This record gives sequence, structure tokens and C-alpha cells, in this order.
Amino acid sequence: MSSEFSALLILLVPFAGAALVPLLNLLSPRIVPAFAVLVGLASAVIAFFLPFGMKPGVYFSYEVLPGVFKTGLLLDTLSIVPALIATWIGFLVLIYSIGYMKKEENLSRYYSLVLLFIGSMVGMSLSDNFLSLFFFWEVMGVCSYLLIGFFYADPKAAAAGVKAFIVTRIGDVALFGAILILYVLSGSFEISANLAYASKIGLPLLTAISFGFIVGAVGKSAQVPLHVWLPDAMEAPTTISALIHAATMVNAGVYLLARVHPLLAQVPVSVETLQWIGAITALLGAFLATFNNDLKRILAYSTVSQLGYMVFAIGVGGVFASQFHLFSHAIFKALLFLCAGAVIHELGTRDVREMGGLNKEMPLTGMAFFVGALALMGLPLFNGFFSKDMILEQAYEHNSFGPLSLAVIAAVLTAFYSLRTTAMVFWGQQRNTKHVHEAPASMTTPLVILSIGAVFSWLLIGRITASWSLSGFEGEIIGWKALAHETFVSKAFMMTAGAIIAGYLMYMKKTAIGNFLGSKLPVVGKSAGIGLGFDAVYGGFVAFVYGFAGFARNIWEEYIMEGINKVTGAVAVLSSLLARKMQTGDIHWNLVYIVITLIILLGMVL
Amino acid sequence: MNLLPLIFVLFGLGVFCLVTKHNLVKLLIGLELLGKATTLAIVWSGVLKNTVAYNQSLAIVIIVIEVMVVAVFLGLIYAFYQQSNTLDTEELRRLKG
Repeated sequence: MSSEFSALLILLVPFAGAALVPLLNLLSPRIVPAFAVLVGLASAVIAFFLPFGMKPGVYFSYEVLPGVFKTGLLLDTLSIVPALIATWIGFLVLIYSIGYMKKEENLSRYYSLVLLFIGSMVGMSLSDNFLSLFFFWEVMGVCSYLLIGFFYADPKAAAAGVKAFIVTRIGDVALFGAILILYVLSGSFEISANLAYASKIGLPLLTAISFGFIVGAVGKSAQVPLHVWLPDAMEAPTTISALIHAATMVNAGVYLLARVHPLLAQVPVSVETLQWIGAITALLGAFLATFNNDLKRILAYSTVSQLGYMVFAIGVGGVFASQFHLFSHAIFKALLFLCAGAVIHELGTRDVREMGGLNKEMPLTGMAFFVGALALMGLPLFNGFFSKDMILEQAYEHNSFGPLSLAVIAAVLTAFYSLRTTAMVFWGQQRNTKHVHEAPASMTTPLVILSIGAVFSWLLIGRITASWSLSGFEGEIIGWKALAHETFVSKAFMMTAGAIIAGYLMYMKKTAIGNFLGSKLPVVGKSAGIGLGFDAVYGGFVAFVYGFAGFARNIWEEYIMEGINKVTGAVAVLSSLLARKMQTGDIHWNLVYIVITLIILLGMVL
Repeated sequence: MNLLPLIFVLFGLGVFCLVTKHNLVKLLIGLELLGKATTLAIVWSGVLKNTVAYNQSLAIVIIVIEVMVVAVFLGLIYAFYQQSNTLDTEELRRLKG
């Protein structure tokens, strides 16, 4: 199977599957999960064939509107990596869903949307033009809204879905604006044509365009200050959280930034902005994760933090580093979420303070979570270590020490909260009386696969870099041995290792630190507990807009529009009072008027 | 021969009839007088312009239309009479503004 053919199939299979699920549900609801898993497997297998014999370029180009818009499939390493991640993680999530969602209602809606979600992520990454990229981007937004609010009977879930939809919409508007400006200037939606054209655009306009892309990615990838939707999205089923965080939604923004990086690189200020946004997001996410007690929210904030690293990497020019971290992060974050799902499934609570000692009853899940946490904190020989180290190395070479220091502090906090969460959930004494069991095989199988991935995925570096340079991106081909060697001798290794050690020391002294913060600086924990007040500020802003809009509406409706109505009414009454005198009701007088008019008209003609 | 005086006389009689009479049937007669004056004027203009055949066909169309006008007018008169038991136009003054 050639890569072009599988590219066409991989776009069709998930969508066809999503369309067929409701029909199959009419036949028999019991076969729906199995069918969805089969579709997931099919797309994953097809995606597996994408890199083979791949010649970078555009395939299946089709002119939708001749001369205006043509769409095709773009195949290069940058586009294939997100597609591979989406299909494989999606497939594992689908397997896991069989066990996790067994008791839920409306499963056809769930499986159909998951397949649509995966398909649109693949479609977005394989789009060769901004218009279809934006289309799939929006389909993903709709899917995320529907899936976050899957338990729509719960008002919190419904509100979280709406919040995710609205907050990401801010970025979408900016992205669409950037796409339209580019189209007006270059007359084309094609990505490669636009990137080539970018050097001819004046700096002010190019800055506006690049900021449109940045805001779009900030919304989708949950960067500061639009990160607020991601923690709330935890109301979704845990499988959906894993899907959003690892496979689809949030990767889209990072992918977009990597894709338009040649354009961004021409605007120094936007690169600077990316660095600071990324570093601040990394630090803020780690900080908030440290102070949270909701297992899923901890993971959500850690996603925010890791996405910050990726954006930071793009800001310092490390496009490959960001994509490598995206790859690693997808694996270990999916692993962490699925473990959390198994725990929540058994315990029925998300509060880590009510967990503890689960290693005895759930050894497999405990091991998997620990592996994921080690990869997240970047312990050497786990995949997160290599990619995070590469990002820090890139930043070091780029001499952006300000954001770099923030990122290193974030790494310290990451090590701390990873250990803390693992310890709270799996180690020590059990703090509740519930009797828990290990999850069923359909749920543990993906955990095992993902654990293996979290330890060994970095060995694929040689293959990835080879196809990366084949696709015409900068960078040398390095094998895994070279990567390991380079990583351990790099200056960034000192930072990574130092961060882990500092995090470990912090963890050891956590009671002392906690007592100090609790007694001397209670404001820190309190403000972190409410997400540093971002929600309050946005809520206040929204309330203000609502209030102002209500006030303006009142003025407009009750005074201006109503006033116009009253004036027109009065004019009509007055004019009719004047005009009614002409209606005598006497047919003879009417005739006299007619004759007089006739005479006048005749006089005018003659 | 000149038909113009006859046309004016007929037209004037029709207008006079319509303006002064209060009986609906008389009004109809006045209207018919007006119509006949118009028909004659059209035929006479054909003679003057030397397009007799064309104007005659126009006159036939007018006659046909007048038939319908008479039918509708008589129908209205009949309905009015049933409603108010009179033919006096003073009864129609309810339309006064």
C-alpha cells in the first residue's frame, strides 16, 4: 500500500465509520463498540503505512472552485506525525472505551463523535490549504464541544462544553482572519504558496497575520491566557480527556504553529511572544497542577504546562523538538489519563485526597501511572526526558535565557507534582474504605501498550529524523545512540537533571513547604486553588458585557426604537386627520373632482 | 359631416347626469352616455386619421367591455337595493371620512 493511497483511505475511513455507527446502532447497539474499535484499528493500520515510501508533496489535488480554491492531501513528516498520533492513540482509547463506557447510555453518539474527532484531526494535519485546515479545525471544535458535554444532563459538563467552544472560538476568529488576510494578499489558500509568499509581505501586515496564527494556536492548544477551557473540560468522560489531551484537539495548535513557522520566523516579535507565552504557560500550568487536588485537573494543568513547552520550543526555532515532544507527550499523557480513568472508574471520586494505597489492588495501573509520571517529569531513559531536554537545549542555543529559566522552574514543579500525585493516589495507606479491583483487560491492554511506548518511543528518533530531512526540513539525521549521547553530554542535561533532583528534594520536604505556605503565605494556595483567578476575571468580563449589552439593549429598545414607533404612529394619525376631509363619501362630488381633473389634464395636453 | 359637437353634447349630458342625479339607475344611464360618447370619439378619430378599420375594432372592444361594466354595475345596484331598499345615493354616504 503506497502512502498516497493510504492517505486517501485514512481520510475516508474514520468519517465513513462515524457515519455508519448510528445506522449500526439501529441494527444492534451491542456491536457498535466493536465496530468503532475495528474502524479505529483500520485507520491506525492505514496510518502506519503512511510513512512507507513517502515522497513529500501534495496528492489528490482537486479543484473545487477552478482558479479560486483547490484542495489536496499534503504528505510530509510534519503532517504525518499528528495523523499517526491521532489514529494510534485514538485506537487505544477506543479499546479502552469498551470497558470504561460499558455502563453508559447513548454509546452510538459517543463512538460516532470519537471517530469523527480522530478523522478531523487527521484531515487537519493532512490539509494542503488553509481553508480545509480551518474546516477540519472547526469540526474538531464541534466534536470537542459535544464530547466534553457528553453527560449533558450534568449542568457542569454542559457548561464546560460551552466554555471550551466559546474560548477556542476566540482563537478561531483570529486564525480565520489571518487566513483571509493571507488570501487577499497572495490570492491562494495553499499553505506552501502562502509560506513562500510571506517574504513579500510588509512587516506590519505580516505581524498581524502571525499574531492571528498565534492567537488561533493559543486558543486551541490552551496557552495562557486562553487555557481556562482545558481544566473545565475534565467534566468529559476520561477517555475523551485522553483523546483531547493526547491525540487530537490540543495538538492541532502546536501543529499549526510548526506548519507556519517559516512565516512566524520572519517576525521577531512574534517569535519572542511565542517564547514568553510558552514559558509562562509551562510555569503556570505546573504551578496550578502543584496546588490542585482533583486528579484529572492535575493532569489537565500538566497538559497545559507541556503544551507550553512545545510552543516555547517553536518560539526558539526548535520545530523538530516541539514535534518530538508532541509525540512523547501524546504517549505518556494518554497513558496517565487512561490510568486516572481506571482509578476514577473504580473509586468514583476524582479527589486525590480520598485515594491512596491503590498499588496493592491495582498493581498494573499503578505501574503504568508511575511510568507515565516518570516520563512526564523527564527522568532519563523515558521518552519525555529526551524531548524535554531537546527543547531546553534548543532554548539554550537560542540564548533566550529569560523564558528558559521559567521553563526550568516549571520542570522542577513538574517533577514535584508528578511525584506528589503518584504518591497520593498509589502509595501509602488507603484513605477510603472502598473495595477496588484491577480494571478489566480491555482497559489494561492499552495501558501496557502505552507504558511500553512511554519507555521506548524515543528509539524511533532515527526514523523520524530521517523522514524529517527527507521532507526538506532542517536538521541532521541522528540515531537513538547519537541522541542518547548528545542528550547526556548537553548543557541542558544539567538543567533537566537539576530540575528532577530539585523536584525530588521539594517532594521530600513537602510537609515543611506546605506548612510554611499554609502559615505564612496562605494566599498562594488559595489563589492557585481558584486557578489564579483567570476564570473570575473572564467571568467578570462576561458579566460586564452582558450587563452592558442589557443596558444598551434597554436604551435602544425602550427609548430609541420605541420612540421611533411612537413618532411614526403620531405622524400617521395626524396626516389621516388632515386627509379625511377629502373623503366626502358623496359620489357626485367625487365625479366633479374627476371632471375637474380631466379638464386640467386636457388643458395641459392641449 | 362633423360628429365632434355630437360627441361633446353626449359627454356633457353624461357628466351632467352623473353629477346631478341621485338614482343609481340614472347614474348607470349617465355612465352609458359617457361610454357612448367615448366610443363615438374613437370611431370619429379613425375617420379623421384615416384608420377606420383599426378604430372600429377598438370600438368593438369598448362595447364588449361596456357590457361587462353594465353587468357588474347592475349587480351592485341590485345588491345595494336588497340591503337598503332604496336606490338613493345619499345612502352611500357612509363612506364619508
